[in-house]
Amino acid sequence: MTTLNPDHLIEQAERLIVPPRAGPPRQVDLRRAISAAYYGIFHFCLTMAADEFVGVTQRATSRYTLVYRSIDHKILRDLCVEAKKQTPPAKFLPYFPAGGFGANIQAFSAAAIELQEKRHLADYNPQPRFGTSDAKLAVSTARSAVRRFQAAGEEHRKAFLTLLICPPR
Amino acid sequence: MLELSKVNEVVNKAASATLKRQAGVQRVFSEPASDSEGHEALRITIVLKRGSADKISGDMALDTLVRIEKALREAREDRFPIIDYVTEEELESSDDAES
Repeated sequence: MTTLNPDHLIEQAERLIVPPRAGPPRQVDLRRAISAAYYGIFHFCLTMAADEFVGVTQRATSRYTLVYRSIDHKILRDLCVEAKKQTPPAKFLPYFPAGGFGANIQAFSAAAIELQEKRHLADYNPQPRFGTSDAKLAVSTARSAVRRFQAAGEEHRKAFLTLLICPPR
Repeated sequence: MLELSKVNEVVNKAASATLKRQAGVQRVFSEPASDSEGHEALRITIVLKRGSADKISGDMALDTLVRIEKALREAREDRFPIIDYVTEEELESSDDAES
């Protein structure tokens, strides 16, 4: 089975923001770029979580799909809101790294929420007019956010992914 | 909750500190908005000088976002900021027809 490569979503977004040979960029291209940039982050999280808890060699199994699909946008958003805080609420406290998530996960979390909001506007709100600069910076932010997550310490990455799969009640 | 003029001031200062001269934050304007969950939010537009968007890396944009959020939090502004970037030339051409 070939799984979706999150990096390809960000590459797709980069292709969509290349200026046309003539005339202004199409709104639909800029909107799809912003959407793909967010989905690059979203699917990156799903892949990391399923790889961690089921295994990268198990990608063709139904167990992998089950874990992959257990995470939705709200779960990611809710965790990112908490991960940005230095002091988490009580129910998260036992599962957070001592001293909270570091700067890398916090930056990743900020980008995930921001891009989720922009994706929502781009996909569903016909009113905003998107510019190339804005779309370009959304895409480069997504790529940078993924790098920051990968640069975080193993303990922090594992804690984040565990909370993504098992949000505390 | 801050006045919008104060929001603009806080964001301008935070963004200018990260983006520095190469990107040239020209001004900031903001308006009340709602986020995707219906909560109060701020739609904040950062106006950059001409041709400067290509000079901003992903790391710079991400650091700017983090810095803006921190500055607004410290100013006791709880509304979620949705940040948009636009260059002066994009603002001027905003009436161009496009599909």
